[in-house]
Amino acid sequence: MMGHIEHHPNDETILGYAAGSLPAAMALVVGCHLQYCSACRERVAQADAVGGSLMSQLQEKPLSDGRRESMMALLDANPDGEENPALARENTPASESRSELPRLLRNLVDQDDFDSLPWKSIVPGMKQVDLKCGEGDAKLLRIAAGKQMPVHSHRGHELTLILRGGYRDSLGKFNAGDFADLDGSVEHQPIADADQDCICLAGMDAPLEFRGWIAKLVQPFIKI
Amino acid sequence: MAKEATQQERTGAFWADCMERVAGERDKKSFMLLFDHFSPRVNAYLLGQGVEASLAEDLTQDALLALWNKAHLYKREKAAVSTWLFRVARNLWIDRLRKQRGIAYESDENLTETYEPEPSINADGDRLLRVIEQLPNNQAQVVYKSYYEGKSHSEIALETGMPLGSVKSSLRLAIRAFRQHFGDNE
Repeated sequence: MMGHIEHHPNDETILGYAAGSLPAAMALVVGCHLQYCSACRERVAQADAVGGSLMSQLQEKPLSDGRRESMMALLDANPDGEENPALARENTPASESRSELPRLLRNLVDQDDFDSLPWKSIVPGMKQVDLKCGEGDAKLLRIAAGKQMPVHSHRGHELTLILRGGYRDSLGKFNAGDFADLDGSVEHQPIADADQDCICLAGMDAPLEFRGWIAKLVQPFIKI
Repeated sequence: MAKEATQQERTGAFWADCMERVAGERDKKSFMLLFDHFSPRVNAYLLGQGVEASLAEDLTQDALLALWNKAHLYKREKAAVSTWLFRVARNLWIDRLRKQRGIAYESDENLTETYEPEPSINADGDRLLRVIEQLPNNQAQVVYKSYYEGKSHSEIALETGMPLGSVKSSLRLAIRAFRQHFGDNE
């Protein structure tokens, strides 16, 4: 269950999402947060409005001859438009609403519960599932209850959405629905809550960078 | 004698009226007004994203056709027509050229179904335009490059020679100016 959300994407991230300039791996994390956060949906709507106004201002590039006529032919071919959404709603599969996973993530992995995912152990107390999304690097991380992740910073920009359980690090307490928006300068060491595993969705434009020689040594093998 | 609305009089409210006539009456004349105004702008947006010319025209046509087919989903109190079209055009671009739409952006139908109305979004984008026009050069540049060239922050930094931190702070300042605009409308 998502409770009150304390931590949100920062303004640049919201703007990047609206502009379509985030790699898919990062946009996925933002998109999943939006399902739970009406405040951020509002922020994205505002950033979309900026996009719309800017688009209206662009130097016009008229379409080629004949496009107007073919548009009119398309109108004649589709006189009534699409059916009323009230009818389409009945076709929504019931499983979607029962899913533990956010809609976008569910569409991607085609599973309804976290435990059915192909978790792979990477270090004791930590498992992950790689997600294929073409641009950037996205994964689900599962930190065992009470466990601590190695200290790490990020070569690039990392976005994390907490989906179940919670963790604490130097930036505060993060619970389900919360969003951690970290650039390369932040170094952190999350500790999962003691009562249950913490499951997070993370998207980044560059791999994590672990500090310390042991971490450096294992990094090429664990590839998170 | 009744006079056609001039370009000057065609504000956000004018386009929202057109959309309502398309939804309510399937009015082709109102639709073609929208087409004539917005298609060269949607096309310009797509060309700016690096879409090849004939595909850009195809996608522009698809975006306008979506506006015709889904006019019943349009709610003027939620978004300006330009906002709605921007969203559709962006999603088409991402879907067709980057194949990531299903990954990170919900379909329009899902949004209507699950997102509650956002009453503080003013349907009239005209005042927002004035905010954009008044942005200092460097802020306008980073906003433009984000939206129209789909550039990431680090790409913008590389291209302009601005430090990454300045790119981000310029964006943040621009966003603050936009937010003031939205705050004024509440």
